[in-house]
Amino acid sequence: MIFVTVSTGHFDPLIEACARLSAYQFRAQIGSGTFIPPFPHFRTATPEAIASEMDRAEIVIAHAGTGMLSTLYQLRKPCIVIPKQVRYGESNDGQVELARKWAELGMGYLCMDVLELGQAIEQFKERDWSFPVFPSLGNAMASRLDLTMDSR
Amino acid sequence: MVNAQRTGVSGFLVSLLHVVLDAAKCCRNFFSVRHIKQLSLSGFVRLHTGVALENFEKSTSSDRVPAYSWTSKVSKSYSQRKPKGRKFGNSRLVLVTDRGGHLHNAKMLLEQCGALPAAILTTRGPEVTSLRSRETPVFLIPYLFTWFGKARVFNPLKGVWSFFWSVALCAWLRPRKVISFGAFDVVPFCLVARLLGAQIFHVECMNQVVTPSVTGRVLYPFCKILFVQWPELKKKYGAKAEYCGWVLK
Repeated sequence: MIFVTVSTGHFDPLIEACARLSAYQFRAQIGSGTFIPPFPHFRTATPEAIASEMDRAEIVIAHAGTGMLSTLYQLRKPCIVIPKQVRYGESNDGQVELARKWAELGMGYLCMDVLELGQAIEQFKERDWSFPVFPSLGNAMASRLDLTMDSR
Repeated sequence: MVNAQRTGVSGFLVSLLHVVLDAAKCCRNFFSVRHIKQLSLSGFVRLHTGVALENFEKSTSSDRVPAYSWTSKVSKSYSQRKPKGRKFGNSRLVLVTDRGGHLHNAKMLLEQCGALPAAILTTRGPEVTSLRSRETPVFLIPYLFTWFGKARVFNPLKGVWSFFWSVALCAWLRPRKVISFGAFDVVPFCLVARLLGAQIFHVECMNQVVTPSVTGRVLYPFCKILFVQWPELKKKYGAKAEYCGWVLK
């Protein structure tokens, strides 16, 4: 099963592209999109429920939202990452940078065009993935902000 | 590129805001009183009008009722309604963030810090319900944009409402340190809190790999530290920007 997630916004071109690929079994979280796909889907869910869906899926197709990619990183789950872009009705191309970086670090397959989704799924299966570890900002902030836990 | 030294119109605006910040020093005193909840209104006025602090502490440290009992009742009930969050030192910490990925990352950061803020401020979203069950109180701030079909437009009316709501929240929470995660909805609260003496710590969203966000550019002059999550982005800001890692674990 391939799980497709677009967060609470809309990403109809992606859902339409999935609907055209009848060879695969999809399940989707479609957010506020207007296109209703023929495969099982739901509008939105809690982060825990979406994480559970991601965990169960063989392949995850996600937009390059921070929340989705964070959850995938926590699950150490590679994904096909398709950034929302102006040409798909998004107000800006703010997700493109992170999508490119995600692919560059080897945590996902970058697909910039929804029409190439079938090809991306096939190539995704052949890749090896890695999840680099970076320093924790939380630890640094605790010391930089002079965190003391003695007083409430 | 955003630098600490600005020229032209932006430099003038920043200078003007600094003048306003200086004029607001009297407001900072309001936030620097450590045991403000123990103070009666009359005591607060006397403290800020030059009456000796020792005499004032003597009058408030005892168990006896202060001279104006009705004011002490008001201030006492006011303080009891305030959320009792964990503090950084002797300061109140408030987390302000947009919903969705911003909020998700903010929660991860709090877990890593082991911090429990006095309050979480966020915009309305499906995850707010589960957030409300936590120990930390959650307040909603307005979303500053309006959707016209698929076009997102800044709504000035929401901006005005957000400003007044931010003033009310600042008066209620009295933040000393504010951690901001963006997006643009957090700007009114951060500016009001800064005006009233709070320190702003902005964390750039993970999405900003090489390009500074609008929120980051606006808040940079008012931040104590601006944390970036990618080393490439640090070069685009000035000396106040720091790269210490990212929020994921």
